[in-house]
Amino acid sequence: MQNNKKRIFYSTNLEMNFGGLYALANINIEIFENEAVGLIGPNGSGKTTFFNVITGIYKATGGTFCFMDEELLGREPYDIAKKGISRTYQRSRLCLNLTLFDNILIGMYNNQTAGYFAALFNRKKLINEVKAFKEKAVGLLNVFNPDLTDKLFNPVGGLPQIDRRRVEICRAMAGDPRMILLDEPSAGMTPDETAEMMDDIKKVRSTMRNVSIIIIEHNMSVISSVSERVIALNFGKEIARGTYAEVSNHPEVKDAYLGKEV
Amino acid sequence: MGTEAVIVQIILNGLMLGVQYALIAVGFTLFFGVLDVINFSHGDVFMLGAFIGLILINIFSKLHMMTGGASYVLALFLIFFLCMLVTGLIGIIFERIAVKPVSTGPPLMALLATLGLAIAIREAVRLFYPLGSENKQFPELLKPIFAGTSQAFEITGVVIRYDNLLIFGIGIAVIIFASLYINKTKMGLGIRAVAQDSEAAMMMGVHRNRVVDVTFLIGSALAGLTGILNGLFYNAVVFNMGAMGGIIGFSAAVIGGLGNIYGAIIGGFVFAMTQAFSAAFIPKGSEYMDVVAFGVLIIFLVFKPSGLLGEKMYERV
Amino acid sequence: MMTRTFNFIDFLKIAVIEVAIFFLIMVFFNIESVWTLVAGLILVVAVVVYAKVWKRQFSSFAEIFSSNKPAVLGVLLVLLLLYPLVGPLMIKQNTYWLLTLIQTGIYIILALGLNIQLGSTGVLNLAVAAFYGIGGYTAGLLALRLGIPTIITLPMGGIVAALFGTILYVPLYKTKGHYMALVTLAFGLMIVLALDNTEFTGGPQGLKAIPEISLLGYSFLTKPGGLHFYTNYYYLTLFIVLLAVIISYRFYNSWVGLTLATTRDDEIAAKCCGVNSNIWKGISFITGNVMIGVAGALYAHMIGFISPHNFSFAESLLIVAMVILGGLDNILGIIVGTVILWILPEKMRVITEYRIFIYGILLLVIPMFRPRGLLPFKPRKYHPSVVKVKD
Repeated sequence: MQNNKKRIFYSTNLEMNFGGLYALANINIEIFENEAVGLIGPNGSGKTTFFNVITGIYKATGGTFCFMDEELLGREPYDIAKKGISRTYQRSRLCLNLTLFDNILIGMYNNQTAGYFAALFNRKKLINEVKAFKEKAVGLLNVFNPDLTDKLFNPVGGLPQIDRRRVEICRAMAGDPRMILLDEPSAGMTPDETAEMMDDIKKVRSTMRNVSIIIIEHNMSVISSVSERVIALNFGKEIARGTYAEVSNHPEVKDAYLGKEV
Repeated sequence: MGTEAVIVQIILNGLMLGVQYALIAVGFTLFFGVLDVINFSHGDVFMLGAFIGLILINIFSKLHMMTGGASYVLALFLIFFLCMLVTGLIGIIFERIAVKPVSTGPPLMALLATLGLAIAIREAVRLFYPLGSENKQFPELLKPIFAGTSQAFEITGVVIRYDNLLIFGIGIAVIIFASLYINKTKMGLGIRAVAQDSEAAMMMGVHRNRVVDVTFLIGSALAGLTGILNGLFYNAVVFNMGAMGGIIGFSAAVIGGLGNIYGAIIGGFVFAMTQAFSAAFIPKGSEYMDVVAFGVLIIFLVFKPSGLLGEKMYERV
Repeated sequence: MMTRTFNFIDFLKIAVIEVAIFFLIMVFFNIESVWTLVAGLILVVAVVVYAKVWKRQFSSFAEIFSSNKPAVLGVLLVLLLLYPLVGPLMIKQNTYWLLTLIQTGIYIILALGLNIQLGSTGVLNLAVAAFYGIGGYTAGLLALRLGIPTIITLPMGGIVAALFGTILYVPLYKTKGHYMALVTLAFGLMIVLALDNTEFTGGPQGLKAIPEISLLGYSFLTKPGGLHFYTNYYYLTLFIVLLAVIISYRFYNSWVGLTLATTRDDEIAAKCCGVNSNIWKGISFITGNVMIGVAGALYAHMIGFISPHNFSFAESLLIVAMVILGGLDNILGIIVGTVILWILPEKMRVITEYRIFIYGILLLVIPMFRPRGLLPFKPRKYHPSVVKVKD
């Protein structure tokens, strides 16, 4: 786990208390550079809550967490995004009425230089920047599904589920993050689509150097093929960690749930 | 008047207004609790109640029931009852027209749809009710009940009319009935369940659509009754009384905490008292009292949007 | 640089069609009898149906229009500039229609200002008429009480409206969703009540005899070449409308438009991409108010008297209806929607009484059937060169 890899994220006794209900308690998770970590657990075990806390959507009620050696407890989501954490969502959060390009471009929000003033008075700078970012967006889409580049200016709402997930992943990648959080990327997909999604995630790692991924999944075949190690949660607490083989055979994990095998 | 009398008068004003605001606020809070919707057309249901009251009075007069004695009391009772029934049904219809069709889309659209309905109803009354744009006189129906008395009594120099007392009494009684219904009956339990978590409620066997219908029936009936009470109190009704009535009723619900019935009731009285005291103690108060009241609303919306008694909600991510 | 060949035949087709529509509109202005009008409307509906049924022939026309946008806009601009010269010759009651067009222009500016708030960002500003009023009163008071020249009062209307917007945004900052709309509602009511009850602003009578606009010594009461003095206001309004359209268009096709749109459609996703949504809502709110305030200043000077009743909540709802009808964030749709909502009732005197009723029905019905508005949705292209595919 160490292998001279730098630790980019860690949480210390992270706790999230919703009016008496401890959605997270005593969470001590470390993430190292360039690794893929699976996060599993039955429904309601706190996985998405963990994502929501470390992206600032919920403010942790106890403990703390650090990314790139900077404490981010209590920070707003937009500050955290600037530090290099991006994510996808369990229920896809795309702007369905906007184009594919719009949805990916907003992922590059932190890289823009042509803002309010340029919109009115320096169109040239703006257009050049947009064109450059368009190249990047096209490049990203090409990795997953070249057909999508033809639909760059179509509304996202018209795409099938799996392509929408891909657009969401492109958005998460577009800003060159150091850590990407994937929340159940294969949810609602057929076995074929799930296999494609597994390939997609591998492509994410090969396309972007130096990015770590935390992936929440219920589909164990995805977890086992994509992640190097796995952490299991139940009722907001960690119950096991290790390789997929170790964790899936852990008695407490088996008790909690043994997810769908495809 | 001595200061004691002034204070008593102010409190009385506040109470009379408060009970009316509370009745309207309960509707708003129920709709928000059960459907997460801000129903702007509710204020105009209040107005419709007043006008339906007028129509019913007309009908019963023509039936010669309004002359006196037992038939008079019966007529009064029927007017109240039928008005509440009709406005309750109208409320259900409004929900079907303006709330249900837009419930799946963005909440902005739902807000606008109920707003549009409110305007349409208001204008419809102005255009289609005979001489709709003018103030309409509302007869003092409760006075004959106290025929033979002095019609009023005095406390510390302040005159309190019996019929106003009765208006207040009816209002409070109805509020109590409504609270009892929500808190003690099976349907009331269903309403509270849907308000808390409609999916869980449905899984427990609650018929959500039925609950929605009953909620709108009750909320609108309360507003309709308030229309009559308002008419009895001011002896006049006008087609746009629902605009202010609705905004104030809604503000009261917010102050008390949207979704919380007791909050709505308290909010109604808080708003009324704020108006009454501002009118009395702030220079040019009677003109500025609405400004002050809305200022109070803004303060609540900003600092305590969950209201005095409301609950905080977490958005599902 | 221009590799597109300029097709003169296409240009002629465009010009002919636009001029024909131009004259038809003037005929429309002239129609007196309701029955002719109804017949005319049936004709329009028939054309629309024809367009749908015989799609092929109609789409070739549509194709010419959409691929020659500069020509279409150019001809339109020329026609708009020529209107005041042609109007007196062709239209009875020319003065009345000139005024109507100017007011339509003012409403377009208002609607575009509200669109930045509501359409682009999803901030339902139910106090839009109050800010309109603040702009008007600012200009009126500055001109009346301090004798400040209109070249300053016009922008000041926008600036003071923006200032009030900033003040209001302080409490708005942390409020969410429908609470935000309600705070604006309460604020709008407070402003009108305050204006109604303050002697300084003239109370319920408002301000009277507000000086006319005067630029560089040229008074707008002058009759240019014998034409009615409204002509001066027509050109100024046209100029400001064009400015508003260009500004709206440029914001839409930029990071600003994109940021506001994602804030509107999914605030949480926007935040996690780095967008400080609270600040951006404020930026859009204040920016929109500038436009709204300028419209108010323009109105005040042109009409010469304003009172709190011009800026009531009902007025706010009317402007909101224009944006909703036109389509959120749809500049062309909003212009068309405003024109329809303003000019049609003017003509149909029959329905003027029913105007507000119809607005209510529209607000009720549009969210159900066409929540996206009149015209079809158009993707954000930023610039033609961005969309171009390299072969």
